[in-house]
Formats: sequence, structure tokens, C-alpha cells
Amino acid sequence: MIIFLIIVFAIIALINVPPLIREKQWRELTVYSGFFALAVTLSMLLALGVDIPSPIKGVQYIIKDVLHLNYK
Amino acid sequence: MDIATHKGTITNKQLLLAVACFIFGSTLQSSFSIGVTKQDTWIVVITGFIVGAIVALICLTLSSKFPGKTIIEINEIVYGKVIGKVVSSLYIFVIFSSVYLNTRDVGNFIVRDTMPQTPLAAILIIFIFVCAFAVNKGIVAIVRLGFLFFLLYIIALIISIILLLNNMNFSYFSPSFTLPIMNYVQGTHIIGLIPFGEVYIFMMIYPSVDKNCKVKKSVLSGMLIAAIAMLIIAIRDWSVLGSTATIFKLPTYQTVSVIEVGETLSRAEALFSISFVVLLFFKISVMYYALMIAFAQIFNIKSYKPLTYIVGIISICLSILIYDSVSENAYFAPNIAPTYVTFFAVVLPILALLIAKARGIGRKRGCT
Repeated sequence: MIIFLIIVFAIIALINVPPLIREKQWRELTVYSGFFALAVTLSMLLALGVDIPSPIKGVQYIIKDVLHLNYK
Repeated sequence: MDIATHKGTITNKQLLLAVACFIFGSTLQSSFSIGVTKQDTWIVVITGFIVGAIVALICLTLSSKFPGKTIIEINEIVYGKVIGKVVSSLYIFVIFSSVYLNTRDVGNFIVRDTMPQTPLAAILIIFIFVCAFAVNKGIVAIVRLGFLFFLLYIIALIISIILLLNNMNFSYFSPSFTLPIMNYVQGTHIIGLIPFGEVYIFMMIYPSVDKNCKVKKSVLSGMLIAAIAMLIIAIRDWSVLGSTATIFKLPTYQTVSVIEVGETLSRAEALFSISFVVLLFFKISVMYYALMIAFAQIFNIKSYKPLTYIVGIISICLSILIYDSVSENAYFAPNIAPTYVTFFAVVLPILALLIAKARGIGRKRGCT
């Protein structure tokens, strides 16, 4: 599973990164690397079965337990 | 195409169909209001449409004050550079969450009803890959599909009504107006903000429309068409299923599966499955495109295209991890989501309008 993920990410990077370097779009490359790192971390953690806090549960906590604006 | 300006090639007719299809996608997931308002769902659809139209008008007014600007750019003008970025990241958060919540809905539907053996991730990967492909082709390519999907949906709807005429029983609708008043308020809030209110996402797309003047008319007529379809669906579902409709996750799906003409024509829910997946593909592609434009503008980069697949992977991960079970999903949609969307579709646009007025920026009236 992990090896499969690494292969997929390598392919995506090979497709996306060379044009960015060739056209010297450094800003794009920085943003791209940030997203890439996030995607790799998230999917690795998922593949390893680590519990990741859900953003939607955070929203639910704010609306329900902090603001009390929920129904029921 | 220059992303920073992305001047328009969408016609108003295409915008109308896009808005209609965008809301059609949600009409198929109508289960959350049916559980709350039961036999009076049709009333709530009408009041919900009125609320939704007001919400859309607020967003349209904000957009028309800053012609050719998306909500991300408007935030930066209205709030200034730093606070603008903060507000914009909230918008990105909510649009992103719409993308992965709807993707999860597609996954749940396919896993539960059509392919129970397939892992959720496999379906999501294929689905998001197709959406990402469409997004990379640009908004013009996506909205061109609107006409086709619109026809598909209307034809499926008409066929299902003709075939279900036998099974309809209008006595299920009585007694009307007997539920607690709070249920009507909640129902109106759900219908007004979730299917109709989500049109605020089009604030990212209005700048690509050809003639900004007629945007209001196209959006509202698109919403009206969708509201009529939704009303028909609400009446059809309840008159066929009766109070059993509340126990199903997707009442619309169950309604269509009732169809049986003789021994030959049955299992018409395939028709429904197709329109569900196709329309949610359309809806998610529009939101996904809005999200990519938002990312491009907040990070100030020239093209969103290299990022599309990576953002797709992130949204697959998020849509897998947001809920542990279907019941959590069923709680979030009717009870939390309306308030959540209200904040972005009503509170923030009104705040932006007030600040713009106080600071005296933005175009006063009329259009070019």
C-alpha cells in the first residue's frame, strides 16, 4: 500500500514539476510543494491507519458546543 | 487563458442551466429535510426557495458592486490585505468542505446501494480523477455539459412520474400543518441554505460570465426551475412512499425503485443512479473549479492547473476521514450544516456589503 502510494506520488510529481522548473515559476513551485507535502502526509497517515482529527467534527464542535446554534 | 482575470466566455443561458443543474444535484439528496418536515416537505420547499432566493440576491448584490471580481478578490478590497486573506481562507475552508462532503455522499451512495463489495477509496479515486480532468479543462467546458445533464434529468423525472402515477396516493399528505413550528423553521433553513444557499459558490464564477448585467436574472430563473423540480420530487416521493420515506437514506432512490410495469420494466433505480452520479459530478466539478480559482488567487499564482490533481488527492483523503459512520453524516447535514452555510452565504456577504458602503467603495448601481 505504502509502496503503491509512493509510486503514484512519484508519477504525479514527474508530470507536474518539470514544466514548472523549465518555466522558472518558483512561486508556483513553492505552493505546489506545500500541497504536495500535505497530500503525502495525509494519505500516508490514512494508509498507516492513524486517527486524523476530522475538520468537519471541528466545525460541529464550534457550532454545537461553543455557539449552541444547532438544531436538536 | 489568464487565470487572474479569466474574462468570460460563459453565456447567461449556460449560467442558468449550470445553476439549475447545480441545485438538481442536491435535490437527489433530499433526505435530510424529509426526516424533519415529513408530509409537509412540499411547503418547506416553497418557503425554502424564497429564503434561498434572498440569500442568492445578497451574494449577487455583493458581486455586482465589484464587477469582474471573485469573492476572494472582493474580500481583499473590502477588508484590506491581511484580514482579507483570513476571511478568504475561511471561504476556502468552506468550499473545500463542500467538495469533500459531496464526494463522500457519492461514495456512500455507490457503496451502499450499488457496489457493496468495493472499498470507498476506489470509488472516490475514480470519481475525483474524472472531476479533476474536467476542472483542468476549465469552467467553460464544465458548463457546456449543463445542457446535456439538464435534459437527462428532466427526461428521467418525467418518465419516473408517468410510471409512478399508479402508485401515488395523495391521502398521505393529510394532516397538513400539524408539526411543531420549529420543524418548519428548521426545514426552511435546510432547504433554503443547503441546496439554494450553496449558490454562493457561484460568486467565484460570475466574473467569467459574458454580460454581467443579466446575471441576476439567469441565476434566479435557474433557481426557480430547480425549485419547481424539487417541489415535484417532494410531492412524488411522499405520495408514493408515505411516512416510510423518513427511514430511507435516499427517499428518491427508493421511490424510483417502486416502479414496476408488468414484469418487464422494473429496477428503474438505475436511471436514478445515473442521474445522481452525473449531476453530482457536475456539482462537484463546479465547486472544485471554484476552489482551484480561490487557491490560485489567494496564493497569487498564474495557473491552478498543476495543483488540481494534488488538491484532488487531499480531498479524497479528507472525504474518507471526515466521518467514522453514516449516522454521523446523517446528523451533520440537517442539524449543523444549515448554520455553517448561513455564516458564509449570509453573514459574511452582508458584513462585506456594510463595510463597502461605510468605506464608500464599490460601484453604486447599474451595469456596463
